[in-house]
Amino acid sequence: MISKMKKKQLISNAIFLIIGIGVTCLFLFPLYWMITTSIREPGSTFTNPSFFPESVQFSAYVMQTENGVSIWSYFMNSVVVSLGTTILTIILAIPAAYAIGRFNLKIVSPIIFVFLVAQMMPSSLILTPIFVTFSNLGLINNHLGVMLADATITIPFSVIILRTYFKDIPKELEEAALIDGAGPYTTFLKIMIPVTFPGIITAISMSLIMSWGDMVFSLTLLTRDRLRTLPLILYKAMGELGVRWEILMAYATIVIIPIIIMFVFLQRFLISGLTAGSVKG
Amino acid sequence: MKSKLKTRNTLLFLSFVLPAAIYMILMVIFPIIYNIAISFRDINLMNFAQGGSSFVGTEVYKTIFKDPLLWISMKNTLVFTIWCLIFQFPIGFAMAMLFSRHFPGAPSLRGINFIPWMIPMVAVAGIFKYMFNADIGIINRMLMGLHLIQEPIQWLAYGNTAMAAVIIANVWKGVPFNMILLATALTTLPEDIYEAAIIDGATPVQRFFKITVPLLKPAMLSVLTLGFIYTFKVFDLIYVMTSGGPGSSTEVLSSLAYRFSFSEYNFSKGAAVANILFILLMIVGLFYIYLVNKEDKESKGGRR
Repeated sequence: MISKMKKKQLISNAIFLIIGIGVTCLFLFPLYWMITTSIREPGSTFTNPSFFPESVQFSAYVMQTENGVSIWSYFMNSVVVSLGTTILTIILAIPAAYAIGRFNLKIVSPIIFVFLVAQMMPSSLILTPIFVTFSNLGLINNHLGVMLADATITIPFSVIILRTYFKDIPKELEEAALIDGAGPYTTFLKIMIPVTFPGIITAISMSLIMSWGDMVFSLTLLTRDRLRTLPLILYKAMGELGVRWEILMAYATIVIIPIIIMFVFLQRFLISGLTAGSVKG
Repeated sequence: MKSKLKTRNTLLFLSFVLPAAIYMILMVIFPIIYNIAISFRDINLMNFAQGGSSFVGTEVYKTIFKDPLLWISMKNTLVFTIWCLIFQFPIGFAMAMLFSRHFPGAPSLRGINFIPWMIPMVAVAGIFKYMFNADIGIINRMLMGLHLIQEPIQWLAYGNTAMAAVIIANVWKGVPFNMILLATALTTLPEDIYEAAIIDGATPVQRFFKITVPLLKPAMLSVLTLGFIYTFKVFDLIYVMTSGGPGSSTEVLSSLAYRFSFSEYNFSKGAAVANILFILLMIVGLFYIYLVNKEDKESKGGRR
């Protein structure tokens, strides 16, 4: 009897596993197609490409762009911009999230409201003013300008994620530290930040992903080719290389590589970031 | 004594929140106000270095409201958003149900399917532009291989098919978002209710509509409103895949605002369109904030 039930369970598990793998393969097919196209022989995308590439080559990955610049130097621009944005985000968002998560003041609700509105705001709303102001301030063609602009997306998001983490800390922990004679800033640095560490990792990874993928602000604020970020280069290449799909798909793969690496190491934090930032608010 | 403590508390609060508050005032609040101001003046490439022209009243709005492009873009934005939700929500829900089952490997598979959500929109647009290519795209090849079509479809050359292509690309990126949020909500459902229902002889369909759906209602509402907001402000995908074309058949409000500001360098018209987009978004956005506040209050009541 028991073994019969176990057998039934085993069969049902196997069926669901097969369905699950089938669904996953179908859903992720675009990624498979991108990667296999990027390692095909140049020009083989014109003929009827087979499902599995016949030969493998990586020349598209070391190709230089039209301007004789290696794709990896644009990669470095993107690294600089997303790291800078993330550092700026973390420095500003952690104390702010702590304040609105822990203090019981009347002013807290309107501040949360501002961050929630900012999180929903379309970038095009502030694009024109930022372009006009940055033109006057000399922040066009400057990575700092893109970082400041990208942070309009990452800071509200991080504050809203981190607030929920700070809110969930038990009051006793804070009080114990204060009774031990620690000042409010020491308590914040030595107790609050370590306790919310998972939340901080989440905010960092979300900021990295969001700033890595930004195109609108780089498109508007960076006109000098050498300063451009990777998403922008992929977009420009689509206009210039039009039919060299193996190169375009190599560029797309390069854009995605850091995302995959982050996914492998930080999956748990990214998923909790999505849920904390959306459902709990 | 009490008020002194309160002042001290407020000062402490401000010392934590001020850096971010200053940033938000300079980079978000000031630009929003500035954007409103620009839309009531006439600023273009010729005069923006000098600060633009003086106040022109509602002239800019009068002009764009007469422009059929605005109405076409508004309709396209709505059509795009609604079709995206119609597909991504049920697909995401179905995948959430599948990967919430306790079979070996389910959590890993759910995790891997999360990847498309993290991929930059430009890359998504690039991949799908390639797959929808009329001559060498895999989608036409597959459809012809299955004998569903005789001739290759020129996907991005016609209005309706171009719209379908951008919707499909966006759905691919949107499904994981729906799947993860709904799967997380599914794991919070109490299992004993289901066990009791099974004992009472409820069919799987009954259990789904009588237990799962009602219990998941808050999460579903939240996913749909957020999905609406994220989809309604779409820009990168359209800009890269079709740049609003062919003609203006995939032009949305974001891309129209960008076109006015940065192709025609008519900053006032661009600002005005962006303001209209923002007002439309805020109607849904305020509803979402209301949901969040409600949940906040409920969770507070439960904990303390």
